[in-house]
Amino acid sequence: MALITHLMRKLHQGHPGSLLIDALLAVTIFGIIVTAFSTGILQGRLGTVWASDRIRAIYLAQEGLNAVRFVRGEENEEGKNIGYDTLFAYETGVDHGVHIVNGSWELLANTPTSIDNFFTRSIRFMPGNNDNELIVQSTVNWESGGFVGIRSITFTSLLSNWAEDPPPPPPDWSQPLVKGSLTDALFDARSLNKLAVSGSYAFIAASLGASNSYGLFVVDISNLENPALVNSVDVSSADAYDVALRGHYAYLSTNDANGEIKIIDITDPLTADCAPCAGEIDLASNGITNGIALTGTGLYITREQDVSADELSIYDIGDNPTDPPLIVSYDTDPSSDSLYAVATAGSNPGAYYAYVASGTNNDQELRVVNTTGGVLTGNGSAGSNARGTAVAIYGTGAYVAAYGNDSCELFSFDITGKLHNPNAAPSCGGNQSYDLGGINDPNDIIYDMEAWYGNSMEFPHLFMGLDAKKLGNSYRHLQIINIGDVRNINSASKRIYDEDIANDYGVGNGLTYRLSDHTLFMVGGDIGATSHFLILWPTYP
Amino acid sequence: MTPLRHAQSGYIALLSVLMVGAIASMAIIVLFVTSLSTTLNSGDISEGAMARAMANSCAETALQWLTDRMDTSDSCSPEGTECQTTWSVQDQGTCTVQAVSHIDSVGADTVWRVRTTGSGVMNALTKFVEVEAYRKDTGDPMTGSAVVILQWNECLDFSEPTEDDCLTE
Repeated sequence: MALITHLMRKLHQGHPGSLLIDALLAVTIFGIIVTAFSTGILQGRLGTVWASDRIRAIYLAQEGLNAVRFVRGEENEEGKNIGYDTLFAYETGVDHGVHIVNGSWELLANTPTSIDNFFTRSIRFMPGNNDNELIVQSTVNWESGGFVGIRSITFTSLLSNWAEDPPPPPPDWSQPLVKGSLTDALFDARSLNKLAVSGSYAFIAASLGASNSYGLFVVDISNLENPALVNSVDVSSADAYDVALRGHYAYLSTNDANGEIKIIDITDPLTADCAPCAGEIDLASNGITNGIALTGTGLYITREQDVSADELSIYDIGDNPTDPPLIVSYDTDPSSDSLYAVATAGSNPGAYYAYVASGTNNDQELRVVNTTGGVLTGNGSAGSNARGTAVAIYGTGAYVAAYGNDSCELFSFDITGKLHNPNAAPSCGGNQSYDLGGINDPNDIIYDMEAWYGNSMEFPHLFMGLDAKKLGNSYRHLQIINIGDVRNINSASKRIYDEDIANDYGVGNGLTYRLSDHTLFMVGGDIGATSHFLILWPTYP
Repeated sequence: MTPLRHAQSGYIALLSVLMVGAIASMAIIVLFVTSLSTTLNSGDISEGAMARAMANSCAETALQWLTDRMDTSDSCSPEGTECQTTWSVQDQGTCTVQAVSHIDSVGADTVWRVRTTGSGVMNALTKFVEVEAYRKDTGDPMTGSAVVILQWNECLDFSEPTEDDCLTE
């Protein structure tokens, strides 16, 4: 300090050399200022760059959330939203990426994306409070010059499933409702046997009436509360017992000895006819064709036979639906047999197994045929001298309806891992048997049944169309049971519905279930009694 | 013009240095202020983005509520506040469903207005989001229907009644 005071005094005294000191002082001060200036500029610039990078990162993170929302909005060809389910399928808690492909955002599983080789954007999903909520984190990382380490910004948002129609609540079939019904003069004093539904139409296979010769009725079901008969088809004046639909054709099983299977073009259901039919299948020898079923392009036909002839025939309707070639046929019993219904199972289309309800008095009500070679590979007995009337397959269970022997009308077989060889014969009264509870035992009959599970159902249901006399003159035409355990169907807790909603209607011969809206269609009516077409809905909690 | 004396030249140098220093200082201050402003601005943008993301989250919640039901009564609104549903994310912010109002009908189909607010973790600003959605009637009182978004806007505030669009002037 003394030195500076001395120098200043010298400066004011105008001593020689003071100019040099001035210059040195000026250079020093200037140097300090330049250093401060440079540091200020550098730091200011770095701060600006850092803030600019951060702003860009913010927009990129926002863009990540918007991209996920874009994916959430994706629809399939039918206009149904599939985007949320797509997102929901991604693993939670791990980093995914998102990028643009052909103008659309797409997610990259487990691969965060790099942007300009500077930013890295990752998308992470976290489970929400329920399946309709998904928490999305969009994170952008970058290395900031001049600052230590990796910078990061994360935005979190919640995505929900509002773009997708919610599933209906689980149907409750313990209290069904009559949605609609139909009877007609043409239905009177005749029998509606079986039916199939496609789109807005139901196709009913019928026995001939007293004053008409219609074997197929077409009902418009676009309005379930008011179904309307819109076409009646004479199928060569034959009785029709069952119907299956594929593409533009209906396949009817009949008793016409010269062409048991009638193939009818139903491209326009209102004008469909059989004069002539689009095609026919004339089976070898004669006999009523009772059952018909479709699996893939395989058309399975069962028939009655009182001679040694084939009772099961399988045709391929894939390439030539109006003149299908025979794949294989099988004689289930060399002497005589009658097959009433058929269902199929198997994961390999080339090696399905046909499960056939055998209706002849014998001990083999369930017959299992390997459809590849037409080989009988197994039998299932539902009691001696019973007659099989219907069969249904669900999961690992084969369900066979039988009557005429004891008080049980339904038997279940476990076909787990041995599709061709059901487990030991169940006995009436055991866990794998079921009694309809009618007072006409052993003459209560299940005529048709279908097993269904899905579309919010809480457990698999077996719907049975039947004729069982309960108390007095009260007849039951519908029972529904829980078949969640194929090894146990004989329990009061398995019974879902056993009331008389269908009593006032001539139904019970045939039924079919539409899973998409949980609608049960039934038909029936004996000769001499009024026949009906009935539509039932479940209630909802 | 009086010629400069030797003794005055030092002052000129000193004054020059001071002037250059002042200019430099001003430049540094300007740079610093600009940098600070940009930084603060980025903070505001971040806060705003977080608030917007939160408000959108509550809009999603409200829309799911609409999809799941066929009820046509308002679920929550400023008038009859039944559900001031809130959702929050740690270190980001909070949102609130302010109103889910049935504002119109087209036959059995319905039109709804959803209003939500969101704020960032600093709680420095609030974002207002309004969504107008169309819900088709399924004919089944037990089955909901996916909504279709008609508008999804950010508003200045919710001073307009729910019957009116928040962008109405």
